[in-house]
Amino acid sequence: MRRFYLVIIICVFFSCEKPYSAIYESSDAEQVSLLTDTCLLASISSTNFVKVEEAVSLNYASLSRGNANLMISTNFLTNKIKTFSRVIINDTLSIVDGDSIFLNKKTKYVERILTNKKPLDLEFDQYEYRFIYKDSLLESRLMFINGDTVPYFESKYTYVQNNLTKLEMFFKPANKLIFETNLVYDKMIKVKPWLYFYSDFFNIADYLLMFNFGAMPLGVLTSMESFAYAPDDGQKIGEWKVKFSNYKISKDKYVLKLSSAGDRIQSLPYLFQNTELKYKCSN
Amino acid sequence: MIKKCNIVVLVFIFSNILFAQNAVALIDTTICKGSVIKLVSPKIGSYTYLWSTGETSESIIVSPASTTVYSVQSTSTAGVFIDEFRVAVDVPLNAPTITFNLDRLISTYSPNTQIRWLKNNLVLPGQNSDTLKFPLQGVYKSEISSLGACWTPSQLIYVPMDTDTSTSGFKAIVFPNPSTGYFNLLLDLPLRISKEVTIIVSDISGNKIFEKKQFIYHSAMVKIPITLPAGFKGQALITTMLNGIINTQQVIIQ
Repeated sequence: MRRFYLVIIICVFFSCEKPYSAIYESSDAEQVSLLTDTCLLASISSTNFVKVEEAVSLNYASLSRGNANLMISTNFLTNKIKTFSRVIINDTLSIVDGDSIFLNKKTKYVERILTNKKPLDLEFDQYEYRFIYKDSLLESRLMFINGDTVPYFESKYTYVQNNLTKLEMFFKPANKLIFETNLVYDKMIKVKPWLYFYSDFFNIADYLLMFNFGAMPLGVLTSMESFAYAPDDGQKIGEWKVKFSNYKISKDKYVLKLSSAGDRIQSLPYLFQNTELKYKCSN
Repeated sequence: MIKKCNIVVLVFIFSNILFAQNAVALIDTTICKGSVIKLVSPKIGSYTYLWSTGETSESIIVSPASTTVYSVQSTSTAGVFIDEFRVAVDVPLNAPTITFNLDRLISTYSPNTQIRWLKNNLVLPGQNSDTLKFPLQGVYKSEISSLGACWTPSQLIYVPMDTDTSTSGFKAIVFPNPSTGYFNLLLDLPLRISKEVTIIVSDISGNKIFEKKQFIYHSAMVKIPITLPAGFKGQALITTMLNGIINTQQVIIQ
């Protein structure tokens, strides 16, 4: 028993002392795919202090990117399990957890999400999100509430070499910035598509793992800072800062593991402390 | 369109039940200036009709510029029936202006008018004064009207965090415990909230050794990493303060 505790203390000390020492390691990493170049995320888990705290597994009917049919999300600290089953109405409409997800017929990108009432909401609010793409990248997102014809919020996304580098969310009627995120990537390393980093998907973050929102970043994220602002005076009312390091990348450029230090980003809850990713590959 | 249909149905039921032959039924309704309303004779069947406008159909469509009384004379072998319709005209008012001040929204408002508040485009029941106290996170507007038919909206205002003082319990989990001084505080909330939470870690004598404020942004599950100053060992108390609720956990730092 005493030996077991000793091992834990050494691990924690090491990660605290050198949190950002290594951007990645790939020399001895396994190869995810032996036969094909098409691998999709199968699971992502967040391990903190030797215990898996949160995990998500994904199942696909076919390995077309971003269209999972089943997602199971487990929080091991609270013992809560959420299951998202996708009911396919037709090739442009799916229903998940009462929400309607509208896909573009040609690209299969999500064009519109119409949410249903959720048990965690105090009042009935129905959100409608409309997604606008340019050159296969999500360019902006409009958010409508309870059938109003005026969009209340607009998010604008900026990319450098297909990597999301800036996200700005505005209270559109007054054109006031209320939330922003700045993202920094390693300049050298390129990986296979792995995750979306849209930090403004607060209520619909689960769909970032299930559905296709355009081209995914091919970069290795090294830091992310988000700020929330009061719309009237622009005063900062919240901030979240996190740095990513210790990437383990397979020989065929799939991200397998990474560590983070700092805050937990609400829309990206699995990128917290120690994250492990697994993939499924088509034959 | 639905509202108009309802008015027609009411006319029909009302006059047939309560009014005898040759009685005059006066139906009041209010429209917004510029809109139209369809008036339908409550007598349906083998009748001939004569409206005060000169029209002879069963129904007429009107759009008066000011309050006007219309009548219809419905004639059959059963007799002659007269029904009257008073169409009041509501005139749009100038748009009100709302301001957000600490924990309340205040609207410009004239005492002779009606006022209502909307959050996220839904009318808030029972909120009919110029002040809306303790709004939750959301997008708000006020609307004013003279007669309740034309509602003129204010500009939209976004309230970025809940200002209510209502209290509801929450679950706090510290992991790992014991720890080396680096641990997570997980807050499991019954509803999504947008509020600032304050976390204070103190030693067993009550001396504060750590404090952090974290904004919870429309979330019901929050995980906050905490790193205590190096060198601290022993028992510590983690106090989480959220909306007046204080949760205290004990943690051992090795």
